[in-house]
Amino acid sequence: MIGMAGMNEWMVAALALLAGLVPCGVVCLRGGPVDRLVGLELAGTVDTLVLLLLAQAYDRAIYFDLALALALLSFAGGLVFARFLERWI
Amino acid sequence: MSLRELAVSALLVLGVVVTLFSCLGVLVMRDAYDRLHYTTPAAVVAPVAIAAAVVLEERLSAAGVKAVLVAVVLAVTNPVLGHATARAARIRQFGEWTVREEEREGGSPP
Repeated sequence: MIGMAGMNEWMVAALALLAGLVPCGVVCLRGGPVDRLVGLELAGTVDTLVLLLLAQAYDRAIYFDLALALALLSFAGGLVFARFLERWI
Repeated sequence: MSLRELAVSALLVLGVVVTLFSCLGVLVMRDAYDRLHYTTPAAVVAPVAIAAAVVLEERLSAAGVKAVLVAVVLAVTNPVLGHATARAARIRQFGEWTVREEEREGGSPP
């Protein structure tokens, strides 16, 4: 296949998942603050999956730690945003 | 193509398709409560499918175990995050998140 040299199925899946960030970005640009937070949370999940696929694509076990760190940090970030959106923002 | 490679590809396609449809669902729903439902397939079905694909490929090596760990973390934290977000949305709307007086008598929530 032309232009696909060096790509494996994991990279193709990661590229396909990147398209899912576009709807998340659109949601983050429209609607109320809580709608935007939902878009941000989903974008964090999609990013985690992309990192997971890329770690396997490059075949480095240490890269999986990035996906794990992002999963935990996007959870903490979402909780902080939710807490502040309750009353203060 | 062996059966294992076929299973890996099928699991990857499942994970990607479920996530893309979740993103579309979040985009087309009307309010935050409706949107929140669509984060769950992306955080439960897709990570489990992708982690299963990694485990099929790598067995339970360091990579496989970490992939399973990521799937478990996403599946466990997403309901907590969803509850916190819905709670924030409700507090912004009504000033409190507990059941209100007019909802007590079997009325449907707004």
